[in-house]
Amino acid sequence: MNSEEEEFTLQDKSAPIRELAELFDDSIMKSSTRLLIVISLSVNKRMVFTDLLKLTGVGKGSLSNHLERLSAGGYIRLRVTPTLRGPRTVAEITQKGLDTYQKYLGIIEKIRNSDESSSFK
Amino acid sequence: MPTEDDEVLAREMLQIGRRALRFEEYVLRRAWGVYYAVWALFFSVLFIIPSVIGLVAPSLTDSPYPYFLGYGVAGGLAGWATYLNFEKVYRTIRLRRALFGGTQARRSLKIGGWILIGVSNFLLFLVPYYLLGFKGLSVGYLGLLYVGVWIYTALRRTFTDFPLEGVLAIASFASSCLLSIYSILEGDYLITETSWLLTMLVWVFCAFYALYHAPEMLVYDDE
Repeated sequence: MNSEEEEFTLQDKSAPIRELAELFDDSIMKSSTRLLIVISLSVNKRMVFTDLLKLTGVGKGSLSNHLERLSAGGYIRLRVTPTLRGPRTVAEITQKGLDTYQKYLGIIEKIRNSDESSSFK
Repeated sequence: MPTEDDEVLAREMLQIGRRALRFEEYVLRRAWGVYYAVWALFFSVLFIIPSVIGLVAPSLTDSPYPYFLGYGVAGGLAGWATYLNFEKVYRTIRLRRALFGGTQARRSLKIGGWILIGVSNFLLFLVPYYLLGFKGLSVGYLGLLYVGVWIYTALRRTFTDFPLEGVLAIASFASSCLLSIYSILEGDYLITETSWLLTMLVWVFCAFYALYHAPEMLVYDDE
């Protein structure tokens, strides 16, 4: 690969990474756990607290904190539903959360494509 | 030009997506478990409906309409479970495609599309029945084979390793469709009933197997 081609590939890749950085402009999204929650909720639409514990692998207190921050930022909606085993916390994705997820998908595709094209070269 | 930090960020983003995808395999395996259970219930209803009609309205046992009504209602409920399952499947395929590339995911169907598929399946049996008589039902079973292909495609595109219960469910379903065609053409209806009874039992097993083994999917590569 000559230096011109190398420069082109790196610039190619820097564009989606810049977009990624913009995605994290909001401090609420500057957390891998919170991004993981938004991705999973976008696919599943709604999830119960116990499933989110399994997904993230963090403690109950920490998860509550992450969920409250996401809820305050308008990415998710929290509600408590009564069940036979007692009240359960359910998290639902909002339109803002879905928009963030769509942006994430687009950026990831661009990064993967630039990785593939650079390995091709 | 991306810095080393940018590269680390990009790698981390991919890792988070892969973890979400792995978790989705767990969610989907449970969802497929429920799907098998609901359809096993539908297959059992196929056996129960004639007895219910005979008990509630004996004068209507010779009319096809109560049967179509009963099968339509049960099929509608099972169709709703199918809709919920496959919507999740399509959203997972979209995430997998973003992370690993591959075939373009078909756009998720709107609810109207699913209703259309449900009605088409119903007509697949109803129309040949009116045109060709009882033997026309074999056309319906032949058409129903596409469901096996559909399930296979969905499972292959959402799981890293094809689940065992998926193989069993598809094999039993396809066998029952083929045996039903043979049975209808030969006039030996016992084969149809026996094969669907066996399929129902296999799908009950598949449901339990999927639900029991779903937690195994929670082992993450990044741990």
